[in-house]
Amino acid sequence: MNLRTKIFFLIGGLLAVFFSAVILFTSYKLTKDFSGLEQENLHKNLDRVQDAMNERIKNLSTKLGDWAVWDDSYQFIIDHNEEYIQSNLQDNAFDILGINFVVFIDADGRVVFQKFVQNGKEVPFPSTFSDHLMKDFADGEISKAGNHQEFVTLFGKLVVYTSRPITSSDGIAPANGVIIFGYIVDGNEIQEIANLTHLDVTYALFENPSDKPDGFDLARANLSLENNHFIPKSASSQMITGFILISEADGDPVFILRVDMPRDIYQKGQSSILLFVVFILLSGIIFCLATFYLLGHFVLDKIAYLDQEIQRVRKGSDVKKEIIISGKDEIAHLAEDMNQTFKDLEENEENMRIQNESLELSKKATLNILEDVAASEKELKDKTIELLKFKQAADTSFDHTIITDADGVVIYVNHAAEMLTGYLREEMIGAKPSLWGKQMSHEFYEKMWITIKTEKKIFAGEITNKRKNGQVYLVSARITPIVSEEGIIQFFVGIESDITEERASQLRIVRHAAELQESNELIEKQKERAESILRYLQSIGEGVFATDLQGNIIFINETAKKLVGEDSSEDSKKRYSEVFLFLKKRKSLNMSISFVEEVLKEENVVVFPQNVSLVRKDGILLAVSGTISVIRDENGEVTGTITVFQDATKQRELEDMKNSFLSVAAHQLRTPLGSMRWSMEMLLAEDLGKLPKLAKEVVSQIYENSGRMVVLVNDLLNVSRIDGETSREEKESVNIVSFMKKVIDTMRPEAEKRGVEIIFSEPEETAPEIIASSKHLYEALENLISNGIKYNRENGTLTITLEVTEEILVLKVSDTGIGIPEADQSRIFSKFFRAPNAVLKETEGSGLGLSVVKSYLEENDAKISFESKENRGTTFFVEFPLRSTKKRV
Amino acid sequence: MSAKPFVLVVEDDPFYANIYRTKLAKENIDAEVVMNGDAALISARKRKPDLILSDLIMPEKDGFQTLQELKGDPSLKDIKVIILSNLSQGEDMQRVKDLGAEEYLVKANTSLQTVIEKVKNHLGIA
Repeated sequence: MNLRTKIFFLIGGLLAVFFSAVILFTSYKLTKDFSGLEQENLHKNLDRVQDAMNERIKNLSTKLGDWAVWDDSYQFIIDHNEEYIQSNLQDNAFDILGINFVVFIDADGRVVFQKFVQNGKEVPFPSTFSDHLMKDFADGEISKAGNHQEFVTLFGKLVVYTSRPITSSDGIAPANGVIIFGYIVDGNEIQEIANLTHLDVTYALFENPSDKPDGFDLARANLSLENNHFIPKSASSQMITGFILISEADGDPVFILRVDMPRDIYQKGQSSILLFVVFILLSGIIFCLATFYLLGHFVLDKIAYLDQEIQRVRKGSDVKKEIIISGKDEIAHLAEDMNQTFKDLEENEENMRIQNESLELSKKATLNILEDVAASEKELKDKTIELLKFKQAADTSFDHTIITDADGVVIYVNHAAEMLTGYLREEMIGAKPSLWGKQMSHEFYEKMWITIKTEKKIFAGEITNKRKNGQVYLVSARITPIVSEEGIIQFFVGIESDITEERASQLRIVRHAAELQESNELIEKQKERAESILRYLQSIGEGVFATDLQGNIIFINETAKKLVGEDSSEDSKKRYSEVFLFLKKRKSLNMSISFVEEVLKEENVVVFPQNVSLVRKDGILLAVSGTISVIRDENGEVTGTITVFQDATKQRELEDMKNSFLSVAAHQLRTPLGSMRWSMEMLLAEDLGKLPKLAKEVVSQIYENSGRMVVLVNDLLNVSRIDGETSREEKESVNIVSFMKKVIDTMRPEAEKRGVEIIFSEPEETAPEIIASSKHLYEALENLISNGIKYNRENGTLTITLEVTEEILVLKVSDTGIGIPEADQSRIFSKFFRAPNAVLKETEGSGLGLSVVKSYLEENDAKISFESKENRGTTFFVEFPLRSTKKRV
Repeated sequence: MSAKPFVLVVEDDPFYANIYRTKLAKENIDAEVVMNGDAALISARKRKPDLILSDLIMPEKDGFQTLQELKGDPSLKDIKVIILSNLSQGEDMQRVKDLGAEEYLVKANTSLQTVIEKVKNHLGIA
């Protein structure tokens, strides 16, 4: 697209947008204004029509006024004289008055006279209309009827009537009746209003109109008493329509007037807008064309010419011809500048051509010289290659090689020499070998010089040298004197090789051999020791066997073989489970247990639980007790397991006897106790009749005391760990802080009763969970706290603290009570033992509490200890181990 | 279920028997108390009880055997049984549970009130 078209579209486009905006805005605004003006005008016309309507009625009212204050009318109401009718209300009189009916009503609301004339003839008075009138005037309050005028719809027609009270002409006498005039509104009436207002008026009844004018339904929906004008939007371009609602005095709508009006204002407005648009468009086009023409003439044509001329010059035709543009504007200047530039270019081109020629000449001369230089370079290269070959031969030798002159000054060194001495070639050449030597004795060097210089023989020997970095090294050296034909020494060639490493490894081997000797002796001793241990293990009374990590038996003693009934000739190296089958009685079933796997997994010590049996080779079960633990080497690495066990038949029998005795004893003790307690419960619940108050108290006390006996029986069983209600429970993870809070909460009422304050201070960091059988732990802690309360002084305190270290969790229960006498401290955990001061303070008590506490805590791997001072208080310490994974190495 | 629930009590101790009789009657529960296991089985077959309360140590047929026979009889095996005994060894408790008893209560360790609550619970009239 060229410049000309671009500018044309730019100007055209901008003007089109600008004029469109102006036209759109102006026509919108003008149309709106004209419509508003038109509507205002129509509203005014609607008011005019209504006013005309009212004027007509007022005329009727004025006519009626003359009749109402007429003494004859007044008299007529009183005497109903026929004369009044004859002279004033003949049929033709109605036509003159412009009415269709007249009615007289007396003060009592009775109709005195009524007449209806239509088209000049009397017709019967329509009963519907009488009814309507009677509704308005039946109350007899005539005075209210003054100046009453309204439209009504009666017998399907629109009727207007007006009423006035009848008074004497002087206005002194009070009203004695009402006179009513009325007529049917018909087409003529409306036509008269149309003529009066010069508007096109039609009407229709609000209810059941005989024919509906256009837009009636819409108008009916939009009109109301408050909003009695309505102008619908959808007007044609020729006419605009408005509607008025006329209502009864009480607000019931009666009829709608439709007024049509030509849209003069609107049409005039439309034509003005059209004129405006045409004008704007024409002026826009003219402006656009003018701008385009002027721009083309003064600017674009010149630019096009300039472009054309430059093209010509570039193509090379007629370069000398200048570009001529008349005028003094920027384009003319540009043309001049171009001319100057073309001229300069031409001059430059000529200069370049001359220079090129001279360059060509010098190039030829240079080439000749270069040829000579290449010839001498080749000669040099050949000699250098020969020299390199010699150097490489010496350099590639792995041995340190140097050449000195007859005075010992270095004149050549190879690469290996550089590596061995650590000196650079430049440093070594011109120096003497003492630069890296001088480590041997003076005599050594003297002797060496005699050999090579005086005797002119080869020297060979070991020499210690020193590197540039100070490191001392040992070499095997060989120095050869090079002698000329005349017997004069010309050079010395020295060759050295590093033997430091070699010598060092020789030394190491010797030392290692000595060490081996030593450890052999040690092993011998250890072997003897181990053998004596094994001999001991072989002969002890307990069965012993050891396994490796895979559970293969690596040792088994005689007792173990005897206990299991194994043939002694059979060797070990079997899996332990092929020889030893341990069973545990659980839920009256025998379950096999894998102690070895268990202990290897846990990496600790396992004590056999109760009721473990070993299955002998002959199938007989043998009750056993024992322990199993891991074996660790000196680095703490687990290498196997060792099990020690013994025949526990006798022990088990005794235990069973004790348990069954206790079980029977408990049953026998509980039976009468239980029945007594239930009976007392019934007495207390008054199931057997009402008890006197005092008797009830006594029974209640017996009931409480019998409860202590139940506790005593339960304690007995607890101590023997045979109580099924409490001794069978799995261990679980326990949060000691919340656990402690629970225990304290249950003990608080008791503490309050005895006036003891419980203080529990939680640890600052979160206490780790411990693994415990929670029911037993609970009972143990409850018992400790209960003791702290029971054996405290009045207004004493019981302080409970928890301390966490890396490996243990310590619970301290500290009271301010009677303390434990020093003499009794050793027996405090014994069964049935109670310290004398405790018995004195609390007569009740089985002496089993602390024993049970200890047993339950030990079951949970916790240790209990205490510190006590008589009359000052006791502190119990309970230590729980923390089984963190960190502990295992 | 008939209007009044029926509970069969197996108890040889006359003292306990009397307590059960009185207390259950008071709680408006129809109860029959028999002295041993054989009598219990005969009674249960005659009139199927809603619940059986049974002692363990009894002459002739003890509680364990009675329970076993009850649970072995297809027409009686769905009757719930609560064991009330003064034995408290873990083994006994496990044996009774394995035989199919609902619950095991140690008489001396349980208040009569609790027993009645449990009975009502099982009868569904709590």
